[in-house]
Amino acid sequence: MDTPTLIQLLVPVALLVSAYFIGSAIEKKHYRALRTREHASRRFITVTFPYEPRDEEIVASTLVTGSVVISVDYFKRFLAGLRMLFGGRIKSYEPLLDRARREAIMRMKEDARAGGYHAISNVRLETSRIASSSGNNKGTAAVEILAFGTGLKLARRAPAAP
Amino acid sequence: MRFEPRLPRDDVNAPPRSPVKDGLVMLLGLAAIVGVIFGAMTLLIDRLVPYVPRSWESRIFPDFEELVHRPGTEDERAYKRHLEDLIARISEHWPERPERPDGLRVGLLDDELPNALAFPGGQILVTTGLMKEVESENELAFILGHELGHYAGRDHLRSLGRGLTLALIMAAMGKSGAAGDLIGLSSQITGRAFSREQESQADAFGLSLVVAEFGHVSGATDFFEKLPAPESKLGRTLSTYLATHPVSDERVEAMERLAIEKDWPVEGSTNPLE
Repeated sequence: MDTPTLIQLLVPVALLVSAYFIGSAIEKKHYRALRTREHASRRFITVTFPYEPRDEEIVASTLVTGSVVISVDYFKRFLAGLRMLFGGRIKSYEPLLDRARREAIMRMKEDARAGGYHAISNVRLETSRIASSSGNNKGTAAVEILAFGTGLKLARRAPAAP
Repeated sequence: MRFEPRLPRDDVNAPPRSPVKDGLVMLLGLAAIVGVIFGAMTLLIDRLVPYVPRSWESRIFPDFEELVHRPGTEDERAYKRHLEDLIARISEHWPERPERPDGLRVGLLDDELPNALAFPGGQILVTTGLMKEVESENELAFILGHELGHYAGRDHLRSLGRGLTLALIMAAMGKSGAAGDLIGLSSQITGRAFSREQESQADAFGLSLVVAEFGHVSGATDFFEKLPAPESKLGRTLSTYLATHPVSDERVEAMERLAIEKDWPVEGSTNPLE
């Protein structure tokens, strides 16, 4: 009976199965939390252009940021590895990056709100690869998603002098 | 311009769908491709191997002479005499095809584990542990005949060819990470099936030499009764698929079937080793 071969075969399979279930559970939980937070802050003005309120005055501005660093789990990397042979959309990475972008935007909004700002203008998103192994795809690959913009403090315009 | 509060949609950037199905389809596709490549290469190698001159083998493979144990005790000298006598007798019955290799020689390997090995280049080594266990000439002749069967089948070259194919596949899959590992491992296990097939062919060859020498098959497979059998059902099932050699009692059964098929006498007296 050849135990090493059996272990060699069972370990990746066990890792795949557990990574799939753990990853799915975390993803579901994260999406639930995101929806709640996004709903609560939906009226917080977040736009990609320089915002000019009509009846309010910008009294202060600052840089607000939200950043997330994500990595893939064993199962997602496994699927992506297969995709590297067949080509096509890496569907296992899409929800991961979607969550990361939304989380980054939420953190940016929370940053702004904590500083007493009322709106964010000129919002931008940036992605950068911060870690990857020497090309064998076995090291820890991670990306950072950074959301940043200009936090604005608004105040009612003083009525024009008669 | 009015600011419209809006929530991100869940179905645009990351539409919900099961990644499992996606993965399984790709995995099966990949397994099929690898299986076809591996199978085709193995068939091709098996076809080509008979045309490789025997002299090339000693150049491809390293020299194993340093493993040979010089008989030290009286017992060991007796073992060596028995081995040399038997190998000379049974290799007399080597069939016309495939061609008989030159330089067949047998020696001892100092190891308690009962085992016999056929090294490339014609050096057969039998462990001292095995020599302590065997009781009859018939039994030992079959073990030696089995090893000769590996030379008849050019099994060293065939294994080497399979190993190279596997290494090529693994190198090609290198970029795909865990998926490549898993595929490599499955082809390794598939390779074991070919290895078991070789062992069965070597068994058949060995048995034919035993029949030619002694006139019957009785006692030839006694050695397998001495090997420990897998205890559990699971252990048995796993050995059937993962082991390099077929399960012992299945080998015995296969040889019994062969004896009936070829109409070889099953009854006969065995010659004890003195």
